[in-house]
Amino acid sequence: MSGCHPYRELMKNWLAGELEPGVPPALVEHARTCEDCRRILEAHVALETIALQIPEPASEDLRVVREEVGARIRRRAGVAPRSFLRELGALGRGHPLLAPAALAGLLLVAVLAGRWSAARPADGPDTWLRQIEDQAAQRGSLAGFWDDPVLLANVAVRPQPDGRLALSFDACRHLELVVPAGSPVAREALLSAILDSPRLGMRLKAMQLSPDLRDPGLAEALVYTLHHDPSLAARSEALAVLARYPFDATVREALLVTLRQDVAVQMRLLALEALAEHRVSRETIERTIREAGLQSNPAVLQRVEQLVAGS
Amino acid sequence: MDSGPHDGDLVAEAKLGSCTAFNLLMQRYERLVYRISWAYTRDRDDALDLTQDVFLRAWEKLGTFRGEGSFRGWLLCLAHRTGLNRLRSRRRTGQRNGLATGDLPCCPADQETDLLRREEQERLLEELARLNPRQQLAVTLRYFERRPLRDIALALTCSEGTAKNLLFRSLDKLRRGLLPREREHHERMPPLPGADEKLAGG
Repeated sequence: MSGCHPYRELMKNWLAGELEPGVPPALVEHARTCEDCRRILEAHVALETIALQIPEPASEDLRVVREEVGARIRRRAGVAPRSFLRELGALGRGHPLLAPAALAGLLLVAVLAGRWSAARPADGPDTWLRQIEDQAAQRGSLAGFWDDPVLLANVAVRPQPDGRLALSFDACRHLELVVPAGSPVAREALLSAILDSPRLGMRLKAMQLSPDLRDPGLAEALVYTLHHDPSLAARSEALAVLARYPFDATVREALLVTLRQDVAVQMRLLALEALAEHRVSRETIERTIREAGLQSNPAVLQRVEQLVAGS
Repeated sequence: MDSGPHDGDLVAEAKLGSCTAFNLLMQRYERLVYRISWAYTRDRDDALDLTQDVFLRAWEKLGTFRGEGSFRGWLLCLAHRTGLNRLRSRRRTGQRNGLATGDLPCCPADQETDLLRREEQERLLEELARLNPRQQLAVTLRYFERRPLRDIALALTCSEGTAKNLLFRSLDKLRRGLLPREREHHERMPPLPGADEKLAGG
């Protein structure tokens, strides 16, 4: 490796991608006589070759992987936080016809109660629908399903060009259960919607419905949304709902964290207003502002003066 | 860099059993893990399967992640190790990456060149899986994610100069890791003086 030193800096810069893409001529010349440097260049070329061959993965493939991992995690660790759905899933594993039977039972109850509506699809029924489809795929036949008059009446059947039949379980999408606001099912559904729904509208709606329950689990879900939801609208709704909760240590801390670290100034100002409304001391607010590095932000300072001048 | 919740917050939530938080982590790093997986398997389906394995193992081992380094570095380390295990297991069962499906070139000479090249790449990946986590992170971001030096330095929380040195040292280590076996492979040791005569004499 003697005599390499002058070329080392050049090679470092080139390997780091700071020079033109082609190998610098001086380096090529040096590598002819220096085996070690040549092998470093060869390792670089081999890595580049591998990297160039890697195809871009399809989003759909990655989504399938995510779903499979999620499903396995829930099965393995028993993590499924939605006990209502878990119980239904356990039913389905017990016997292939139990899940459809349970669904049919629920539908029957809904029919008898006269509660059909064209409501928006809920997460629960979507899960049941997938279970039914899985069961059907495993069985290769739907004989058991057709015996049930409720399901039969609500399944759309379309013939396919190849002679098979397309079955639309639209029945599931029109299910509406009317339950007491404080019931475990309602709580699970709200938690599921706040934490898991990909639809912003659903998350907002679920949050708007949650203050009546005064439930610690829901409060936790709201705090999670306040700190982690990528949507400003969702974070703002979570803050508004939390501010209406009893002002305990959890809510206070959640608002202080928002004031300290939310990426949107608008959220910080909202948190400031909520804290001032609950008469949090001026010292605490000013300390948090200093920690957030906002002490030179005129908008924040002005708002502090307006809101907590009297404290 | 990603906006949204910090990795550390998501990891803390996932450790408490939040699948939602883990799902966000998966979304954030799935492409990178897929690229690493593809490098070790050379096949779309196998790479997806390996990606799934990596995330399942990540979930199982999340409790051992103590937050001393970045989650990304920890995950990449796991991806490389899982990839290496897959590579070894394929070797044991006699399969070779990308060659089991009959995609060899027609000409025998080309086949040999192709095989040698792939063997060399496999050995390189083995060495890559043996690098320390910071070196692995630097190399993976540089080659598999094509990140500029500034991003690599940010990920390593060091200066660009240090990142540059680390990258160079990593390649030097890869080179040294490859060297003995290459010599064993390609360069025959000269016979000991008199050895031929001894052999001939029985």
